[in-house]
Amino acid sequence: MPVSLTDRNRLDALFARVQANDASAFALLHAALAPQMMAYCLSFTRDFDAAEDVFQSVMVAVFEHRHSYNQGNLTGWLFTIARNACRTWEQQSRRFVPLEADSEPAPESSAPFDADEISLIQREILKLPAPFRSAVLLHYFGELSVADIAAAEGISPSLVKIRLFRARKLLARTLRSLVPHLS
Amino acid sequence: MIDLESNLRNAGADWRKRSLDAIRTSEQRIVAMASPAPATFVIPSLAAIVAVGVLATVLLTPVPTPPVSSQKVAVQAPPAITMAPLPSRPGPINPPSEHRSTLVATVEREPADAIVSLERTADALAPTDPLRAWQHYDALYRTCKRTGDARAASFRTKAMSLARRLGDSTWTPD
Repeated sequence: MPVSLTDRNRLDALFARVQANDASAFALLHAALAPQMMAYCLSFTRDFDAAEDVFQSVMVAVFEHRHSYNQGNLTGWLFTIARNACRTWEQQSRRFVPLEADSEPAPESSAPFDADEISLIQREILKLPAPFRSAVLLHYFGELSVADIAAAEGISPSLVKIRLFRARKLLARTLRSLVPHLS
Repeated sequence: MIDLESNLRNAGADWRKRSLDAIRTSEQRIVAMASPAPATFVIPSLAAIVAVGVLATVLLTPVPTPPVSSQKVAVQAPPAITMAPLPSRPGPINPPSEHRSTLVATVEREPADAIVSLERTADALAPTDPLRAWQHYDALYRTCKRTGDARAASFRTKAMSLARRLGDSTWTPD
């Protein structure tokens, strides 16, 4: 049975095995972290392939620094590593200037919605302001609870709820203009 | 009428599926990073033989000498090697000739053990000569990736780890 990031006891036990150089435990940890960490990385990169690369570097860092973790908040420790990796990626990506800032074609309002529904919503999520984007990705992609998002982001649960609420409002407004039949 | 909440959940589920597919189907699944090389190698499979053949080809293919600036060897004791940042896309493995002949001999005599042997060499090199160790892991990764060998992910991770140690925080073998 796969280990969930929110299952603290099992995650701690799994990480203890990783610290003892149990390779199979590291593979399990990798699988357990994938959705949440990919969601987090995607909130920074806004590009799925880039998020995969950052996630990979997160896992390398987790492995290299596994012995520096002592008892405490493992989820917080993991997300701190992820945050640092994402910020490093941000700094490095600033060296490259896109040819056109708005080169991505805007979706056409007359396009058939059913076929492109998911990709349209995903695209609009990635266009959200950073705090909203992060909350939405961690909640819907990473399936983290409000409390876990608060722990990961270092903010209060109330603020997470506010961000989710405002993000949904923004998305609803945008999507309604693109797709009139969206509630 | 479409419900925003359910659409957000669908979008999240689609991303999760993509991320898990990417991990399953690509070499990015990290395995056995900390495990020692297996003590014994089972009967060589066709994939292993092909892998060794490809590796031997890589080793025997003449490669251009890297620019002088990419590797500076200090001459005074204790011997030390100063590394420049890694190239973004390193070329094939380029070990010194005496080492290469040893590797080729190993490949010819004991093809089934060649990858294991090379991995052990790389593991031994890693603490003192990270650049050469990195080259070994990079070549092993490419060979295993070509043949679908499950050890590719492990070699990739080790190569990336060494690249970080060598000061290149962005290098990936792909």
